[in-house]
Amino acid sequence: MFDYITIGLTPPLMIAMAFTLPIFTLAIKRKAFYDIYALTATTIALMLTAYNYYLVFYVAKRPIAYPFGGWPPPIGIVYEVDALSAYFGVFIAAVMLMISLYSVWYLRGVSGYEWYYTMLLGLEAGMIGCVYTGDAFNLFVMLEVLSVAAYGLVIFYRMSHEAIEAGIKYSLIGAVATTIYFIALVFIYGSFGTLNMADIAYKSRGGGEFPFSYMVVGNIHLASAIALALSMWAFTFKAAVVPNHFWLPDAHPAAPTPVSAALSGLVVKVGIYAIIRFLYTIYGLDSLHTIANVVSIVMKLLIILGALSALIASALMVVQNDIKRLIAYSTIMHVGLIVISMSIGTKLGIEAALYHTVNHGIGKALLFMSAGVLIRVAGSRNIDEMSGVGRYMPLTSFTLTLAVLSLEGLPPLAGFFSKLLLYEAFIDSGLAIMAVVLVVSSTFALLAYIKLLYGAYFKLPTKELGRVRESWTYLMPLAVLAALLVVLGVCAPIFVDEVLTPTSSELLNPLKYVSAVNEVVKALGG
Amino acid sequence: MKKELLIAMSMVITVVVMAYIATLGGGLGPLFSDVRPLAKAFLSTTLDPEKPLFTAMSPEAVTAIVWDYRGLDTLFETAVFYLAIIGAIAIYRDVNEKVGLKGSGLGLSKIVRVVTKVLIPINIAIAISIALHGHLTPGGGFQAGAAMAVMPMLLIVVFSRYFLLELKLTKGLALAFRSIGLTGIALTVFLPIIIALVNGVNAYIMQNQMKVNAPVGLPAFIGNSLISGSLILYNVFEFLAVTFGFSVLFLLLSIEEDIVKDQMRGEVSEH
Repeated sequence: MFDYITIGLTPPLMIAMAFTLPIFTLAIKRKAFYDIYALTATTIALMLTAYNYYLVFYVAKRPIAYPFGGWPPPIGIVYEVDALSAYFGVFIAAVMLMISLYSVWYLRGVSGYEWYYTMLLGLEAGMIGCVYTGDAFNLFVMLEVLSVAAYGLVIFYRMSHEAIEAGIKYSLIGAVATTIYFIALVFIYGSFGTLNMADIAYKSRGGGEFPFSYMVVGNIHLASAIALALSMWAFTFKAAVVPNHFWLPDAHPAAPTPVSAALSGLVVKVGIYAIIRFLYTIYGLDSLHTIANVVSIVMKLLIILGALSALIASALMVVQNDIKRLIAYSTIMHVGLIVISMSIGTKLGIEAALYHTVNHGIGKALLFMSAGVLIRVAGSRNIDEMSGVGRYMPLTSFTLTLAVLSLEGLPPLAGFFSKLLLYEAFIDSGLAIMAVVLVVSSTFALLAYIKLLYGAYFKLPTKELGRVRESWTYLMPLAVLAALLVVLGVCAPIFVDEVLTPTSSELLNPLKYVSAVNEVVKALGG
Repeated sequence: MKKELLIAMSMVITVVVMAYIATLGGGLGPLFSDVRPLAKAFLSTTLDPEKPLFTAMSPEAVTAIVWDYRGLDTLFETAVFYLAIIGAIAIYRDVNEKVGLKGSGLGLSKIVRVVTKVLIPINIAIAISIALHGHLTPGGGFQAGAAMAVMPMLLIVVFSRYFLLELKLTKGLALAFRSIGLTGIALTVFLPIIIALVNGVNAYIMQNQMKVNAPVGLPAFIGNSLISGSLILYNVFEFLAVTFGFSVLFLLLSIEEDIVKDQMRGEVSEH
């Protein structure tokens, strides 16, 4: 009974919980109620995604498809969770739980928490939906869900002109980006006659008939070229790869700090996920000859853009005085490195990219959230004005330093091992120049981080704050994320063997992705 | 000047390339000549009482696609609209709409007011019929909600928003009705699962009619009238959600700028 229902349950359940939340606002005003509501929802999401991970990795050992409404794909929509989706799902749900835990502290004395939580749940539903869906059009819808929630959250501080400017910029250009992806879908449906990812993947590799959609109907070579070009534009916008990065340094710092952590740590990673899905599963180097050529050109371009992102963003990091802006630029740099690595096309490259995605996400969330505590106490985001506020808060300063060291790549923290893996992947595929990019951008970043640590901790305090009591409500999520950084670092070899190797080998074998859908079609009477 | 020229040129090139690929290049496949295989599958199964395990039981294929075959997309499109309005409510949080409440002497001339009063029942009847017939004829929950939302818009323009406040049509009330609609949608999504749990059989999220391995079907008929199972439920709840979603937005947007700014002034933003 209910085969694999947990696969399909997570995003609809999250959005249902977001739907019902406003009813309570009519009767209940207490903040504690909404804290518990949001924590319950995010905990359920983590449990479900963790269970899905267990199903995919240890029970089924293959991708699992869940047909909504009982319609066989491509007639209906399926969620298809393979190792990659399961991996991203757990990562997103785990960090989101820590972010909502931190929000409990952060939202004290801030009005509008009920709407904040509603949008946060919508954001999480959108992100998990993006990584779980097996339907290219549903990916568009889920991107819209996560984007609309993100726009609302960025503009949450309505009296801050910075937030309003950033929000309007982000939402207008974001709407253009999703629309461009929609146009890409028009070309895909027009030529392939289907929107199911597995179906497109099968046909782009020269496969024959597929149930219900039969053969291709148009010129898939030309249509795929334009669809790839357009969708990459949209996804590099979401992932903030140069030259589509310009909105990020405004939008991420303007948002409330936990939202900055979610945007920088997770939302850009959904863009990364979509690029991987398009370049390895839907299309790929093993597609029909003409399409494979386009894929290989796109990959080469992405390597160049990734290198530019890493270099430009790391150089700009050094000159920032706003602590949140500095951290936001660091996101562009790390995304650049991830994009280079995943565009090489080797197994090692994918593994390094996936590993760094998670390490950066956790490290960046921890860095934003630790900095947020210091900002609250210092009353300023300017690094010079913060002058040594960290001295009053040793525990927060410790987690801040840990996050910085992990992002910079100091052993035995997680960031060191993923940067090492990136380095190996670059050298291994003969891209020594990219290894130089990695080292140079890390050096620039080091300068910026030294500036950050100096301002936040080492500089002599200009004003006396007395004894500052650190609250366990924010220390708990910080401690969990810090512990994760250490654990992911210490267990690096096990992590690579148990998680990354199966994920990358499944990703390089897209026919497994197709066969999971075929089984569903058979079961439902295709 | 140079910059504008560059932008214009690149736009022209993009449009030409895309137009070529879409038409002469065959990128969009056969246009105007044949229906795609997938579309044929939809059309042939949308109302087929002889194959009760593979039909949406609705003669209106568009509604069947919107709420049954591809219901998940619509559920989350509803979520997009919902979150956009939540964003607006968040921006207007704690703004007291009743400040400066004026009497009902406002509004347009008597002629306009009488005509509006005549139009309102017609408007309600049309909107409800679009919602209730959504599974039979073109229309559906969103369209009906958009038609119904004309009413608060007209009332605000013709009678002023204070008139609505006197009728107790406040933001809170609209929000309550909207939440009822959305909760109804969420319940309909999980309804087949709940029924299956009680009966100990298999079912899928958002299922409408019975499937080969999931013998849970919502009733397609009441008496002799076709209701198409979950489609009518979705349409009615979406109608509620959209009507009152727009109402919330209109009520918020019609608050005078001075009143909003006065109440927001001096608010401290955290970082």
